[in-house]
Amino acid sequence: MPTNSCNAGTDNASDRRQPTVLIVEDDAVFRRVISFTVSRAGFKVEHATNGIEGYDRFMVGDIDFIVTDLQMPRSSGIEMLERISQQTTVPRVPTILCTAKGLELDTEKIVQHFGLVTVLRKPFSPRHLTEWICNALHMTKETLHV
Amino acid sequence: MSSPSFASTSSEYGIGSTIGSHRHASMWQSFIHGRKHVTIRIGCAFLAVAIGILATSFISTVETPLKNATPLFGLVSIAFCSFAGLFSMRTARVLRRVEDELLRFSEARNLSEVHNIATTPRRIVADDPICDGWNRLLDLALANVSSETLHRTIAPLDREAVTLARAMRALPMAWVITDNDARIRFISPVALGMLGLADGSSYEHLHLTEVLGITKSQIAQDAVRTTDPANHSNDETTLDQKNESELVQAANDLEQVLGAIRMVTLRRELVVNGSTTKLRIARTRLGGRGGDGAGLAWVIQDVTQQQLATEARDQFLMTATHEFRTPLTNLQAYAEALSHQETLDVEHQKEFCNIIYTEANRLGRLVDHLLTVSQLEAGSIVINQHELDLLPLLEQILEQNRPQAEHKQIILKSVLSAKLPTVNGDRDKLQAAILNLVGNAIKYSNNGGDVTVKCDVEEHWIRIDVTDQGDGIPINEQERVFDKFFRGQKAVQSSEPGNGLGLAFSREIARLHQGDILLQSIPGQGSTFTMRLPISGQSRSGI
Repeated sequence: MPTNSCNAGTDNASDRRQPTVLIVEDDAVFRRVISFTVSRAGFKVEHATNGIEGYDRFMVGDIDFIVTDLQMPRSSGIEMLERISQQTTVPRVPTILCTAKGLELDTEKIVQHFGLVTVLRKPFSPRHLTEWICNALHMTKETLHV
Repeated sequence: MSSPSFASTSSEYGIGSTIGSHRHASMWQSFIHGRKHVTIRIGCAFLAVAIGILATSFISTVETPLKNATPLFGLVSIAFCSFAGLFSMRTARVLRRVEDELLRFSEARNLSEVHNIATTPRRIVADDPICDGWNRLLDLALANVSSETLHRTIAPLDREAVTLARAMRALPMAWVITDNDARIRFISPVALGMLGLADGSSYEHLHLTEVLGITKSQIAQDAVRTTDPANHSNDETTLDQKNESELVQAANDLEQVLGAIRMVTLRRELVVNGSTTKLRIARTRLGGRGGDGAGLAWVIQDVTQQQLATEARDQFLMTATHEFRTPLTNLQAYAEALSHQETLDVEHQKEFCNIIYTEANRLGRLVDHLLTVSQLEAGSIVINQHELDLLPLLEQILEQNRPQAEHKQIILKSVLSAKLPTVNGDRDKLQAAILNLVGNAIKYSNNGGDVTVKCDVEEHWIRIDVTDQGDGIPINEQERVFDKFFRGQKAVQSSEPGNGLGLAFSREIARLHQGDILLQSIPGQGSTFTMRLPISGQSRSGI
């Protein structure tokens, strides 16, 4: 049973499917703990290890939220977001970008450009990440219902 | 006789009351001073006085009707004496002037040697033949040595100019002296090389601003090149804005460097012989006397290397920060998962604890490595060198790596000479350096391959080759693999952990032993890392 206060899997009627979070992260160790915490919060978790894999998985569909790292081999998080934003027919999905970069990154500009939920700087707490996801999804759902 | 320049030269020295008209002086001389020798003249004067006195005495003693006029004769004698005395004094006075002038000139010449002040003896103006003699002597002397005198006065200036010019040319810096319109007048050899003008062609008609690309037309060309249709991107407006701002910048720069401000500094990028150099330009206004020699002095510094070093340092710091954040993030995330998940089963708890332990170790290794590399670069690491036999060391390293190799079904081969000369080295640090090479070879080899460690003597070196049959290193990455924190694309993509410091560390250690590490790699066929260490003594192995 999920212990997190934000309980995505049980907060609505049982006919609603469990929201799926796509985690795009190259560091297997960090991917593991993020997946663990997010899935414990009641989300379904899908994985990708770089931007290309992430884009491919996203295009398959059924993704409600994206958590992506910035620096990854082969294709970065920004490259993936660029490719996704070029797909005008596919509806936008709330996204959080994680980065180990410091102040050299203009987070505000990136948030505005891609319409991100936020940019999280490493190290960050996985619990806070799940809170961000919950808040963002609730907001999105409410907006959609209206 | 008076000389032609008698009254006109500025260096004449007059004797006040004696100056009369030339004609009058000539008459007087021909009438009274037919003889030019001073001694004869004074002698004659006194002879005339003596004769006069004798005559008056004789007349006064003889019985004559003039006997009553004796006092008058006395007066005449006194007048004769006075006249002769005055005449002698006048001659002696001219002589004293000549002596004074000689004395003054000799003192002035002594001073001139110290202070570089030119001096010549002056003429004396007086209606006396002695003066004529002196002036003629002076004219003769000046005519004979005039060229010598000129050289003597200008020589110190020449010496200074030549020394300064030589120093300026020999200075290892780029300077240019231009006129007020930036037309090149003088340029140092270094500047010629730096600005790509060293091909022997004339630069005298060139404007330095054009050479440096600080012209409106040059910037316009740059702008055209940037907006070349081949390079067109979607972001045309940004490019146009950029060009416009460059044009404005160039116009400002040009105005500034040719303006009246005394000192101006600016930065420019210049493409010389196909490579871009970053220049820091400082120009100063030269104030000439009355406009003569006025112009601009430019000092140009090539700051390309300096900027590269700064960029490399910044890149290093950024990468280091990133590398530190990764294990730190994991530590925090797993610790949080452990503490906040109340219903965590034992299996998960164990797994998370193991990960925390591993990540903490990773962080520790990173700190160690970083510290070591930094210390090596700062030169603060001491290498305890003593005579070292490499064979046992290599065997130990091979043993250490064998489990790792077996895990990947890699055959670890060794080709070691039975006898090897010793090296002067630090055992622990060399072991760590070679261990890195062998460890890397195993890490980046495909399962089932071979890794060979070969050790042999080559001239004055001991050569240790570590060869793998991995994917090799792409040519564009080969130079960078020794850079701190650099990891090849394949290494990053592989699941093998690494921080890009191992090879940097190994090479620093080799270099500290006056050796080096070289890389030979053919993509797709494998790599060979060769460590060379200088031989210090005879072999002890195998004896």
